[in-house]
Amino acid sequence: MLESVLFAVSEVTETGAKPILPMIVLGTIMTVTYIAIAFDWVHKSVAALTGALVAVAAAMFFGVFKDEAGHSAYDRAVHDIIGHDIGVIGVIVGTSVLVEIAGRSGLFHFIAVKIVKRTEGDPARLLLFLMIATIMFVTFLTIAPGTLIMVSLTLVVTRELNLNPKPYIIAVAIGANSGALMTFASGICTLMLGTAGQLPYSHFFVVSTPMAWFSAWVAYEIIRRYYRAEFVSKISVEERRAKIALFDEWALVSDRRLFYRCAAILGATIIGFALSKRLGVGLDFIAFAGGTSALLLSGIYPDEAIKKVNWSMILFFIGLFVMIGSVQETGLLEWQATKMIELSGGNAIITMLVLALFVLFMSGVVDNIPVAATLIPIVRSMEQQGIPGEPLWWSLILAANLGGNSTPIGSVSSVIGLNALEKDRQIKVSWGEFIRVGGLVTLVQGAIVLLYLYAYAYFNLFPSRPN
Amino acid sequence: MMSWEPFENESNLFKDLGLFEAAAHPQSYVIKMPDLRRIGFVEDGSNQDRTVRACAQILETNCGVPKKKLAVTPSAAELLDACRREQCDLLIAPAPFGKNYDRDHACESLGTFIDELLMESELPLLLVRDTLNEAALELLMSGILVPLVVAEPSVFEALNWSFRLLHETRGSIEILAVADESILEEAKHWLDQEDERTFRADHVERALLRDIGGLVAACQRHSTAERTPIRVETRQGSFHTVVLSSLEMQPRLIVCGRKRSHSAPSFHRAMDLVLDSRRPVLVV
Repeated sequence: MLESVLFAVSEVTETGAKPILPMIVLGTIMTVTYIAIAFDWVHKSVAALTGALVAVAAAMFFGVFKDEAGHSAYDRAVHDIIGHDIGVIGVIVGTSVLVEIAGRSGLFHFIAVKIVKRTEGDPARLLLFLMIATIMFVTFLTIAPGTLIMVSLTLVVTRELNLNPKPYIIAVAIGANSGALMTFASGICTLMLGTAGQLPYSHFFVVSTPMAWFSAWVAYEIIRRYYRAEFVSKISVEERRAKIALFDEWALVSDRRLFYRCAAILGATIIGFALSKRLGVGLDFIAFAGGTSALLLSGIYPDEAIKKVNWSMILFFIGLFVMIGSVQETGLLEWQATKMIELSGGNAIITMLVLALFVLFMSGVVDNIPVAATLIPIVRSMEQQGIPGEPLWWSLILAANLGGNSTPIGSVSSVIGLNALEKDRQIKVSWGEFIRVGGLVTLVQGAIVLLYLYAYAYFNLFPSRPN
Repeated sequence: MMSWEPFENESNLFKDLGLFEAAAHPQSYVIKMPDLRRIGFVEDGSNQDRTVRACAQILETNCGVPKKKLAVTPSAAELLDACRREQCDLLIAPAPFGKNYDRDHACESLGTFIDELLMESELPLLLVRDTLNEAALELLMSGILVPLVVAEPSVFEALNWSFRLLHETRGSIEILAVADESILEEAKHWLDQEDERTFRADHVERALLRDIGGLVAACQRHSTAERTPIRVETRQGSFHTVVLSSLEMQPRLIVCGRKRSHSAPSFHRAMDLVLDSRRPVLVV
């Protein structure tokens, strides 16, 4: 039986087409892994690593990887794939060290309290300012650390002002996904896609930064209207003002020297990111320069900062990249790309819009990182088949980040926000309630994204990538 | 609901909540540097005398106040009287008793004289347990570590003294706040014993951060005027172990607050640090 299958496989290979059995087997492995990740059957990193091991073993069994000059099949299977994505991992490690040290200085906590004090305890203004602060923090810190700071602040401030924290937490969670669109390095998903698409840092200011603010404004308006009855405090205006004025931001500063140094290093790192192309270095170099400067100048025992890097996430990415790389070798993703182009009749704009719609939907159901990671080779394949790349990459970036707003598990910011709300205040947000708000936000944001992408493509506004 | 891992963990949430709660309810506190007119020191004929003299010399230079050698007296009370007469606001004394005993089996005392001093003295006491050369002492005195488990008045006093000692040299101060679950053991009956989570280190750290908010704000404000770098670190674990391991990484002078009562946990924490630290400890 096995011999006949292998014979069939090799026979098809000789005709030039890819054998179908490895596609089915590795495609199934990938699907099962994604389901395990989505439903939290096992730890995400363990799921991704297991998927990678099984996928590599299956690919080796089917002879998917071929020996090339100086490269064994195993090298092709694992080392080349990891090497190809090492830039993303480098940026994550470098920025994690920098963000950990900057977080210790109290810099962001200090700024957050300063911003909240400007609201003078006004519930509606608080919603607006919390969203703006969330976007700014996610811009510099990425989604998870930025959201965590803002969620904690929101829980404390709403308790002080006797306000229902639910709308504010949802606003922070949704606003964080808009924040991830601000720059190349604002979100892990954005970073992955930007790196894969070789999009220059400065192009983000032209395409995704305006959408970040626009989508956040849409979310703000919807949340403000949906929860309008909740923006009423049981305490008087004067009392609210007094309570907010009492906040002492200096209680949050653990190290003033570190505070100023981190501000300078973070600023230099952002400028470095923007100038990396001109400097002829990768973003990982800039991220490592920022992280290493922080380690050198912080006075913090380096091991303490290094061990705070989310190694679990790094392993998750390595597993994911190896698994997808193995699946890619079977030709399954290329086949999917061809089918998507056929579906759109080879029209670049329709392909872009179909892709955006698909990603908007999938990012709400599965974590947007596996969705993005899977679509990277598909979009590369589409580019090779003659579809212009820029609109596809930008549609992926916008849709993957905003699609996560539709469900409570669609993005890491929602997971953090809702977990924190439940743990600290014992308030649960049901799937139904979240989907009513988040789903509506995603519907409107999705429609705007499609129009926005269409307008950019129609008027040829997408900046061209340098050769 | 899916777990946070691998992206985040609860510990970070509790820490951030504690920080913002500290900002919301800061205790009003202002650093007041105490008067330091003279530094008194006493010798007992032990090997530690040379280190005591060196400490006095360094503090004299660093603080810009004269030192005064005091005669050995039969009782601690008489020595403290002599300090008052001589206008000494800080006393340096050797404390070698039981240094070579195994702590697990024997010594819980610094000797009758020093034990009495610790109980009676309103002045800060710089106790020299072990010998140390002048270069090492010089380095040690350029930085101060103020360990704490709760923000009690004795800690505020320790901070006041820390700023005073570094007033001229502008050395650095680190506040090491230790979230030590064991401090809750004695008060367990106050809390819901069924609720095991109450005693998790994360919860203790959150409460500690809330507790020290006013102290941190006061120190940061004062450090602006003084240009004394100050850093606040929180760690989870046993107070004793955390403090001593922190000193191993970076030797500094410990300035430890204590309430003058045998029943006060802060008294025993200070005593334990003096007993186990190989470097001088200033007990305030």
